[in-house]
Amino acid sequence: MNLSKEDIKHIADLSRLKIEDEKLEMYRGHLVSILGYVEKLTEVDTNGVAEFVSVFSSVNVWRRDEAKPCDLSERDSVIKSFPRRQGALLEVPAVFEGRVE
Amino acid sequence: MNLSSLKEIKKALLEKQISSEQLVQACFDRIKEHDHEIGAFLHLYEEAVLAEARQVDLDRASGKEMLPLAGVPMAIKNNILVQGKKTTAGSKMLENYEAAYDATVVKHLRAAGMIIIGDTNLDEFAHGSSTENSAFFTTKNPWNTKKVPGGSSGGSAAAVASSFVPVALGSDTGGSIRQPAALCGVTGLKPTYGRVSRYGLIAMASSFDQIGPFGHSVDDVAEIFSVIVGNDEKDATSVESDVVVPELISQDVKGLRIGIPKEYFIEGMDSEVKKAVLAAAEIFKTNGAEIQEISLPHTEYAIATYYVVMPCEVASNLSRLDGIRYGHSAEGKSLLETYLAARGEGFGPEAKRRIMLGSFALSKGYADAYYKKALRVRSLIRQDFDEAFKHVDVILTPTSPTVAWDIGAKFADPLTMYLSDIYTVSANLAGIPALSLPCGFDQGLPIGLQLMAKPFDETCLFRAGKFYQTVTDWHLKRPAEF
Repeated sequence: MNLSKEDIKHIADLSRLKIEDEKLEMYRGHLVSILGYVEKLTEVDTNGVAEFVSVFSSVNVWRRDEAKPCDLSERDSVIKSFPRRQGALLEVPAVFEGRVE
Repeated sequence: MNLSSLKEIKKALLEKQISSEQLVQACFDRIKEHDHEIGAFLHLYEEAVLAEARQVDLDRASGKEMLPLAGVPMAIKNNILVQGKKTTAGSKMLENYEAAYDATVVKHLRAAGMIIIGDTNLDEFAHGSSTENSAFFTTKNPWNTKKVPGGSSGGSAAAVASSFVPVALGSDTGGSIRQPAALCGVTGLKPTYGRVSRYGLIAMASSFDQIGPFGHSVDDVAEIFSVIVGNDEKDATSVESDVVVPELISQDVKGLRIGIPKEYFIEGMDSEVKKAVLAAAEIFKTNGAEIQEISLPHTEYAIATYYVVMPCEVASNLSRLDGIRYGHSAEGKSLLETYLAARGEGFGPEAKRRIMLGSFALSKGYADAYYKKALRVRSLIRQDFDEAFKHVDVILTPTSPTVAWDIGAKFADPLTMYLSDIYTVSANLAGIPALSLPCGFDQGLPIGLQLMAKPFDETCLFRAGKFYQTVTDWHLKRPAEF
């Protein structure tokens, strides 16, 4: 698998990772080497083989769709871990660029 | 007094030769004296824990009926949530994250009365085989501090090997309990997928991850396993299964059918490792086990399969770290910029590599060739084991192709590091249980023996492992400085 620096930039964007330009070549080298290694999977005849779904022939695990209140200390901890908050509200940057309200 | 086995510790507590407070204090004293050389621990919970220990002692003194493990200290890997404690997963991303709740295994340990005295170092998000990927520091091997302890649960393995704590928990996605157990000369178990709840374990690759114990002996590992095992409504992949009662496990290997897969004894394995592992097989044989050569034909594709499927799951799991809800955050002009900056700053190089590999293997035009192809090969690897277990009860292999290597030696080349997992990833791909135990030394460094069994047959691993430890003393060796 040959990948260019632009490909790596694209994959980094898909991954929501900011990668410094001078590091792109390093990641390119690593990804090409790893993808080159995994190419050996093409040697395996997988005709008629089902994709692995789970370790056990699992059946759905059902439960009632009910809200269960959590422990208050857990709730407080979750709120405390918001990097930006107003009271108990999670603050999020504007999703639509150019709108400031 | 030997305080490295649970049996000795329980006896000493029961007969009041030592109090839980003294025991816990002894752990802290030892850690403070030596851990600056090893770097096993990330955080110690000193004050809270000494109070817990005192309470256990008061209860015991008042004649209250005590659970067998009440007041016994232990450590856990820092990717398992303990409410109110910093759970970093070895990452800058979660450097200041305080867990909002207890993992299910932590609830089980507390219910058993065990005292979690601190948490241990790991490769960032459990990505690695040496702990060199920790965002904080590299843990050293207690047998030789120039060597890696293995990973990713290197801190837990080193903590037990250094006798800082008698037992510890780790997590194993591709070998992260067994490989550091082997490199540090301790015993470690990766349970059958689904045996132990993953609720409260910071997910690496959800179809592979299992939490499991480290100890100095199979007895201790089996005892901790029996505490943490069980179905959990908060982990839909956990399953109801028979409870293992460690005391009832037979220690006889007569008639036990042991398979040696020919594909595991290949180039790249140290000759001393091979010698030690085959010598272990010989011990089983002379004591009545039947040894036979078996074939696991798709073994050579295990690493390639793992390094496609696992990064896909990693990319998906780590997408939750967006810099918005918790963890490292960054200022950006837009939501997208906030994501890019927070994740670019927060994740280390190995996490970034795995996220990018996963994003690539799942992206349009490549998912069939990489992800789906690897899932088909994963089915074949599982079928290899299903077929093998029609003929044998246990599969015997090395845990690692080499003993511990120099810190830095494999760090620059990720693929070389990945290949060190060659004997361990298959058990995770197939979901089967596997145990690593000490079976010799090369250049003063421990060699690990791996035993694998069919799903839910941990009992068989304990039976073989307990027997091996009654006729050998590798598990009783300790590093010279300690």
